Amino acid sequence: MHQSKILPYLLLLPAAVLIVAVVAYPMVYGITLSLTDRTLHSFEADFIGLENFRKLLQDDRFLTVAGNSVLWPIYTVIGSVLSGFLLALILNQNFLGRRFARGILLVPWTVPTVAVAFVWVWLYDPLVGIFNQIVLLVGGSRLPFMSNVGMAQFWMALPVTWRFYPFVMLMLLAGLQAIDQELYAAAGVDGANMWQRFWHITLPMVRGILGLVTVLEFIWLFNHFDIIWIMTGGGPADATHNFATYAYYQGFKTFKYAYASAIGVVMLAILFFSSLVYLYLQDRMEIEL
Amino acid sequence: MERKILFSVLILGAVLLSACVAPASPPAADMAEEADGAPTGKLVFWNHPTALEAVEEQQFWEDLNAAFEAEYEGVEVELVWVPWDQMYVSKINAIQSGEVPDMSFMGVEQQVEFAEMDAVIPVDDLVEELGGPDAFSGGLKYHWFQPSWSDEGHYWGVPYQEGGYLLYVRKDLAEQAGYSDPCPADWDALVELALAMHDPENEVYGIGLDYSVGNGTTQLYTTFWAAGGGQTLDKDKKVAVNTPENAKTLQFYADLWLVHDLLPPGVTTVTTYGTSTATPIDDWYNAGQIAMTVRNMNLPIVWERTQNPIREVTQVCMMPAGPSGHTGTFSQPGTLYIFKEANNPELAKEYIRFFYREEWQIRWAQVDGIIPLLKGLDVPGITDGYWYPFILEEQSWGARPGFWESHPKNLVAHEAFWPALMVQDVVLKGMSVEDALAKYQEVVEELYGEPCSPLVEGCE
Repeated sequence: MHQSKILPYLLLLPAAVLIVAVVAYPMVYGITLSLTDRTLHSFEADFIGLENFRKLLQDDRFLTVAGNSVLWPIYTVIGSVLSGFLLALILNQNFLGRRFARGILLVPWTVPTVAVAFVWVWLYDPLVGIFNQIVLLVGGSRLPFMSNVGMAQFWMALPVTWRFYPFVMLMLLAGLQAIDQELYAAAGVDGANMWQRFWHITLPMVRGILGLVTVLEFIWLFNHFDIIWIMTGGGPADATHNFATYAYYQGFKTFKYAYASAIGVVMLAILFFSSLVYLYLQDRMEIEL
Repeated sequence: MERKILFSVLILGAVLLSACVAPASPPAADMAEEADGAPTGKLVFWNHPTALEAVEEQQFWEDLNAAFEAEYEGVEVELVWVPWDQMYVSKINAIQSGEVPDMSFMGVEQQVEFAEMDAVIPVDDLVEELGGPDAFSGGLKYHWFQPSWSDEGHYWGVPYQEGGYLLYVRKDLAEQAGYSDPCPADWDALVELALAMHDPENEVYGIGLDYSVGNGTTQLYTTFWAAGGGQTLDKDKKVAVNTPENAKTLQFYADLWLVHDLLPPGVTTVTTYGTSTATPIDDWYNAGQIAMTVRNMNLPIVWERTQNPIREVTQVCMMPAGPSGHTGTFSQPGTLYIFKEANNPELAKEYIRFFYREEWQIRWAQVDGIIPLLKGLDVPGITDGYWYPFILEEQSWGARPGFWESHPKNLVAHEAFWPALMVQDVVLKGMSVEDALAKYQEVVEELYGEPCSPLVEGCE
């Protein structure tokens, strides 16, 4: 009897140790670090309370980054969810070559993000990029895609959206295929048009999955790093920095470890709240199912 | 049963922990043994790829190490290539942990900081053996051996490389614009020439400058800044960013974008040094879409080596004089130094002596595309270039952020790339020159005033 009480804890121990080592410890260490003045140059750190957070609020670059972080999910999450949903609806129809289309449309999800970044750098290239060649071909003048401070984040969102829509598409396609076709047949008998069938049957039936993938995409894309860092390094003029790239810049380019940790703590708080929303939606979806 | 499980967990934990424990001391085989005065043992050299063509550089070091090992029986050289962007972090970590290599290479700012940390040994004897400061090339004499780089009356490193920037003008485009002798004498002439060649309707832009919030803009801006008479610290080691000299330079540099609109579209994502990877300035220049550019002195060497036809249509010029009346360049001195905790410091000194033999020095200058380190050394492809006197003249006015006055925080200031951020604020964010200078006066004051490392004595 005694053995059966302790055995489950022992079996959980390796996983618990792993979680403490790779999640809990770095998180606590990061929070602790954010309350110090540690840099690469200061071998010992002094406790300075919330000073780094006060500096963040006075850092005009951080405020730019915060602004970017509001726009960024709007561009990328809405972009990937809308395009993924639209493609899922199309792929849910019967048409010739549907299987082939499903395969092809999944390809971006399989491409490493580093490769995506490099490909899009060349697509946008001001001198030899194919987009600018097309612009010139139709009589326009070169567009400085990634160096336009006002538009750089928008152009940056395209490759990210392209890379991340297949997940949404796949999840929603699975949801669409689970809808009982008799519902549509009954609606047809009642004289419902295509829009009414979508609004009153399709959307309510996939609402749970839609909410889930939206929150999940937000969590992934809010702190997206690699494509941004490779394509612009956060520039021009910080126009494409988000919290993740700016924290990296402060931590590993200017070596302000504590200051970078403070940015990480802000990011952690936002993502923690997002995770709560995700868990809530997940619970609700399980109840609905 | 329960005891068996607990025992197994303990054993597993012990095995995992043992895998994490580092050896307490270096292997005995790594230690130097002096027999009959001949150096023996293993030399660990952390280097960073600096040359234009990595294959040739790698071959150079393989050949040098093989020759060194052949001459000194029982000696082994372990060359460790550390990525460029980790050059500083790797050494700070090594110093903190006490597991340092025998010798390494880095910029001069690090030399002062490491000396203040008591992490490197003085190499006065080596410098004197090599002929003292007068034995080295003009630029090095100015920049290396002036008192600012020899702290506390000692030399802490031996020169490893030195270079600078030159102005490259497309002769064909200049001739079309009516300039047979296209080298501009001063900044006004530079703008005049650029405007004359600027033809955006036919996709020819007056000037192309590397842009990045890192080394790219920092180095180019500093090149103009040197000619403008600006500096970071005054003679009293006070921050002197907000000065009339710096104002003139910043205004001139920003006007190339904002007033004269001479740069091609998209140039703010075009960078050689940063993380962005769009078409490099060189490609624009080679395609004739940039009429002139400011680039490292080693381009003619590479062009000659690769027989690049671009050299036939290029006029290499000295950087034009700024309001100060003289030319200038970003100075690129690097240093070889020996760690205090090195296992084999004497072997490291012997290695540096070997590296300084004439045959290796000639080859090193050619491979790395640098000014020959020793004065009077003829290096085919470099010292016979018509542009070589230009770079020597520029070296007299070479600059780095915080160059002229030794300060342990020079490295922090340099690594912050504040000149690039300042240019960015004016060119891309619309800040006025006056506001930018006032802002970066405070930023740089803060950089120099940050808490000192406990290892840095005398840093207040």
